[in-house]
Amino acid sequence: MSNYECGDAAGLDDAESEGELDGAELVDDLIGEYDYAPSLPVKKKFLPWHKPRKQYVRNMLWKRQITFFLRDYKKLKEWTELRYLGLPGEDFLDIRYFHEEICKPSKLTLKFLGFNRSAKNLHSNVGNKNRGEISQANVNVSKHEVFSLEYVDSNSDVILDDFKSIGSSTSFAWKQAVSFGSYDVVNLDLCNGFCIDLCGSHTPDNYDALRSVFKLQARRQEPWLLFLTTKVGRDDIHEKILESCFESYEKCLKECEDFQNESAKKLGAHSGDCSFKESDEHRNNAFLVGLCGWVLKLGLELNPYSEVTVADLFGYCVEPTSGAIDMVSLAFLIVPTYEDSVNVFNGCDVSCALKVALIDKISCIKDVDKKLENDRVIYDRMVEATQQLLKSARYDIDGYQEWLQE
Amino acid sequence: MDGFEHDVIEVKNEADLIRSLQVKDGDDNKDDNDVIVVSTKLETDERVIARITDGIYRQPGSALRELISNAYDADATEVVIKTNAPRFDRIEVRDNGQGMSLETLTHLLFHIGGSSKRNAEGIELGVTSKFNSSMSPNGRKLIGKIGIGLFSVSQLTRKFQIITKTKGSPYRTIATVVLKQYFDGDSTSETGSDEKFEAGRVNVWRERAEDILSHGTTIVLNNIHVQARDTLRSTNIWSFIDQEGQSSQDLLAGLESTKDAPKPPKYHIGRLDSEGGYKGADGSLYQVPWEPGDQPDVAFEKLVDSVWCEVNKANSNPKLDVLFDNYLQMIWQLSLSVPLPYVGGHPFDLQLNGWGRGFLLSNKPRGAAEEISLGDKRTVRDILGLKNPGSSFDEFNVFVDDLKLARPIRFKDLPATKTSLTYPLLFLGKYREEFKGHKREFSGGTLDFEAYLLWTPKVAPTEHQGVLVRVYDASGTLFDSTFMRYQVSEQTRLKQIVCEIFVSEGLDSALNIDRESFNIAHPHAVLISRWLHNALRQLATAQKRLGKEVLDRNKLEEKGAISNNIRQVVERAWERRVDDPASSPPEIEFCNAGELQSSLFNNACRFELASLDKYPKRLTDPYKEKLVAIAQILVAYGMLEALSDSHQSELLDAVFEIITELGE
Repeated sequence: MSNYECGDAAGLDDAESEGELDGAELVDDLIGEYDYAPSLPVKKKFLPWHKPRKQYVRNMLWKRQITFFLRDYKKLKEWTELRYLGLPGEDFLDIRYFHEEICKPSKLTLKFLGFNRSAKNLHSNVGNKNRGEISQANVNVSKHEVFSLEYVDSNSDVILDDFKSIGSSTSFAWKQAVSFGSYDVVNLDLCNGFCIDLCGSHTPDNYDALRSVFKLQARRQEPWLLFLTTKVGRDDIHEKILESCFESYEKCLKECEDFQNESAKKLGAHSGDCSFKESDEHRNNAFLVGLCGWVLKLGLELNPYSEVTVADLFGYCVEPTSGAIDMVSLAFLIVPTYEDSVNVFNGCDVSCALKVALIDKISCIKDVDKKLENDRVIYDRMVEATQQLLKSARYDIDGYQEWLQE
Repeated sequence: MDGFEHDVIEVKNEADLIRSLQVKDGDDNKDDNDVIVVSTKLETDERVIARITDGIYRQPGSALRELISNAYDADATEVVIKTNAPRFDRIEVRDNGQGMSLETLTHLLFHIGGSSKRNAEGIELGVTSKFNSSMSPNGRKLIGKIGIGLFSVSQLTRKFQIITKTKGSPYRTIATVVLKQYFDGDSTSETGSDEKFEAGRVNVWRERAEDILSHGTTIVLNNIHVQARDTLRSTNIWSFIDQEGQSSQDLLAGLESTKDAPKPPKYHIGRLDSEGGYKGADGSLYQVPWEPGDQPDVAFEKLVDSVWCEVNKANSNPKLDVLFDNYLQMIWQLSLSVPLPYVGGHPFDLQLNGWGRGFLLSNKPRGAAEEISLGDKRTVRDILGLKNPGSSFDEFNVFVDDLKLARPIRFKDLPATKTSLTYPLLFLGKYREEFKGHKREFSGGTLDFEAYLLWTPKVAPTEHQGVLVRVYDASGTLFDSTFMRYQVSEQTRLKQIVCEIFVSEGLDSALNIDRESFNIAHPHAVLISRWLHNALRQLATAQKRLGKEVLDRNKLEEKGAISNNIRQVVERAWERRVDDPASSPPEIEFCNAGELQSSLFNNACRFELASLDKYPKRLTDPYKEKLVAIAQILVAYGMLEALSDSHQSELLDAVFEIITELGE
């Protein structure tokens, strides 16, 4: 999984000063000592997002939804390019995938803007090795590879910033994102929890960032797709957020008969059910209703508002001890309207009808692990496709099967 | 991802480096992913070290210009530069040129600061045409010197990475370089040798490539020098604004001074605060003439138009260093320097009919420019058999951040002023000298060029007043406003001339190493300068004659109408100060404060009069006529040019109050 959080494993948390310089920095630069060693290449190792289940998500969620999108809205405009905002990581696996599977067959130019903070800080050291430099050297080689692909727009770019910083309207990231225009597909492919922090605990945070995405997409007339991959294990969601999801769910159960019926029928969750909070499945359901409801609300808050629907939903298990779905990949379809949002949304809560529809979608979550376990043919196809993708990103795939067995 | 266990082999010379990495090619048992890293010390001679310590380039943009030139010489059709503006902490230059083989890259690294082009070595390494070492493999005339060009990055950074691939190769070759820092007197090096100095260290490795047919080179400059970064960030401008702004605020608080605080350039890319965010209130974070999401070519046209629009504001002479921050100025200069098409078309592709008048320049010492018939519907290129740009514009696109560069010189829809000649004049010429009977080492070989001189009442920006010499369509010199030290006093007219000389053969050897200046004693430079001065004389004669004809005709038509003494005073002053019979005092208009609006191609000079609100009825004759006359005389003596628009209006407003007070 391409992810800005995963790339942060080395702990690159001290941002380099970007503002005006003081005399000391100038003197250091002019005559100070510096790391007199050229960078080395990275030694690549397989990572959790190199498993076949991720390829299944690429195929059956991302590719499928984009294909539907291009088909359904072909009357709106002649699609000559696919404008993409994503978190391509060091290997640009998503870019390589979309190029091969969507753009090349459809002869669409892929114009992307990516965020990758792992390579940002050139002075971050791990042991005596400069991790930031090595990471950046690897990103540069990956960029050279993807820019040689036939349908990749050469004015695409990757910003070595945390995606969250887009949440501030004075940030470099926000300015770059705005300058780029608007996007057909936004893919927030995280490998930790979107809601791991409480809203406002960092400035800007994930919530600000997604709000900003909606803001910059607000000028757009065409629909767009939002993919969101996030961990949903108990430790991946802030306690208070989880609590608030439970409360909201309970409230809907009490106040909305349709919701109550749907919840009981499709999710087996009843009002006053104490086991509700203990079960992984029910916890996931309550959280997903809360998270999806919030994304729906982001669309409704725009003026004119956008209709947001959950197009599809996949889940799988990444923690060996988890035993239940602890990672979800969501696809939202956002369709701008020309109506005043006041008519449909009073600023308090997402309406009951919308939440009922959410239950319907959430109940249909596709368990990727089960699917691959039960269908060996598909599993083998995903293994093969992943190997091809990794090979294109300079991975030694000879050890891939062995790694999978481990 | 977290391991660094690649084998690193230390080698001492070029041959060992190549051998160490070539082993992979024939070794099928070798693991594809088993990357071998070869590490070595880069050595060079005293001459190159001297270049490092001295710094051969004036501006950070020069290094980018050299890298673009290298891409051009490598037959690239596209160069993309990402500067990370306004951070400028890293700069990436990516091209789709031929790329470099392991041998070429290694040679380049071991001879950093030298050039392998334009000699047999260039042919051997495949960086030039097989048949001509002064041409690229695909037949472009070389404009750069690869080793020097790459070396120019030392102006910007000590650390950089090269990623390159040639067509057909199953590998990418990657080099990470760190240059050693030298100080004055420290060039004796640790090697103890008198001849070789350690210039830096490099790691080279190869990565298996699946895209066999792709080709191109990317150079990533990391850790940009603070000095270069500050220049690109316009730190000097912003610091001055901050300091003066604070002083001004202090004055205002204490003394009620009306001193104006300095303003940022009209167009700028903004600046960042210590947290990395844009500094300033919302809406003024950055101010560029294009819109978010504009296509790069559209955005660049808007940048060019922003300068032209200034011309039509009150008596304004738009200067790039006032209008733009350092970054936008650098963009402008890059677009002037490299082989690119013109924003609105090449001057040789103009059709004179409906545009202006054209002349063929004589190469004879006392020759006269001969007018081209307006009835001829062909382009001047066809009429005179002009060749520039040849094939040098064929598919060469340069992108810098949001912009697609083009040559920012316009020839159509030129802004007019209140001159007798309301149309532009284009003077064209060509020259060839083969120096028959002279040895090449003395003559420098054949000199061949084509040129135009455009006379237009207003040249925008003012930095375009002058002559720009292009060698094979590239130039590092920018416009020379002295017209190669033209000694004749033609102050007004010279400010109305844009000249470009396109050298298709010769002069290259007269370029100094920085490619930003010429050896003026070189025979080619001397001949070009003499030709230019002869052309300027012909232009002046023709323009004066045409101007006088028009003026005489106008005077005849207006006879009897000019009875006003004031008007005659102004005309006399104008004639005394402005050595141009084709011109006449500009039209002057006044408006209320806040109503000044520029309209493109309006001839009038406009000024805001703050007192007009107070005394709306006073702006009537004879006061208005007198105020207009005073403004025209101030223009004639160049008094208003030195002032900002607001100060011009303030001055005239004060005069307005005085003369209307006297009248009462």
